[in-house]
Amino acid sequence: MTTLNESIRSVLKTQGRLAVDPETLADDDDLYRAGLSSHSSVNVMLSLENEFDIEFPDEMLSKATFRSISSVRAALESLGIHGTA
Amino acid sequence: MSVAVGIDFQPISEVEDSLRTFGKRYTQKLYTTAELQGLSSDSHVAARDLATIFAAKEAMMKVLQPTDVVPGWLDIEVRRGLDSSASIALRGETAELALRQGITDVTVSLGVVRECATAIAVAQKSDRRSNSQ
Repeated sequence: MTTLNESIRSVLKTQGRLAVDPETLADDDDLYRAGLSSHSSVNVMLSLENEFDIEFPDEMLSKATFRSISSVRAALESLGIHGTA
Repeated sequence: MSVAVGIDFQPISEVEDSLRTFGKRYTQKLYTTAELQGLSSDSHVAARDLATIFAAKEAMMKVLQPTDVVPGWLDIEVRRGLDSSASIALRGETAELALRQGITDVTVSLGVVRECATAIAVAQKSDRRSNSQ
């Protein structure tokens, strides 16, 4: 069964354009330091919306939301998406 | 009077990919109706123009350096001139943030270098900033 963190890593792999493989990142590593741009963070958000059939409210479209896998997970959980780590 | 500067580069290919993958959902998240008007029917030219607009928005974000307020992409509208210049119209909390920072005037220069859109935003800041929080 795919966990929430695995789903986030999978989306980062296809849309994040990171300089490193997301599988090598710890949950709290800074994604912007790993190469995530503002433009790519929008693509990550749109892909997560597709994946979980949700919509991120405008107030969540901040750098803080996409700073780490943990923060993305927290944002998804606040939107009612839950899963195991 | 002081000056704040923001600069950004946006690969056109990334915008093309986003348009292909997400279509209208992508454009509706990032670009205002006015920004989308008059886009070329040539997908590469349209992607180039959107990349330029996005670079200008991001350059403006870097001028603002927001911390507590989250500027919405649609609250930063890029109005392109006939040449490489552009002006920026701010709305909502983003406009209030600029006011609090004493930003009185913003000049934007746009360009395309090979397959990358570029933008530089230069803002004049008044030393007498708004006290409204």
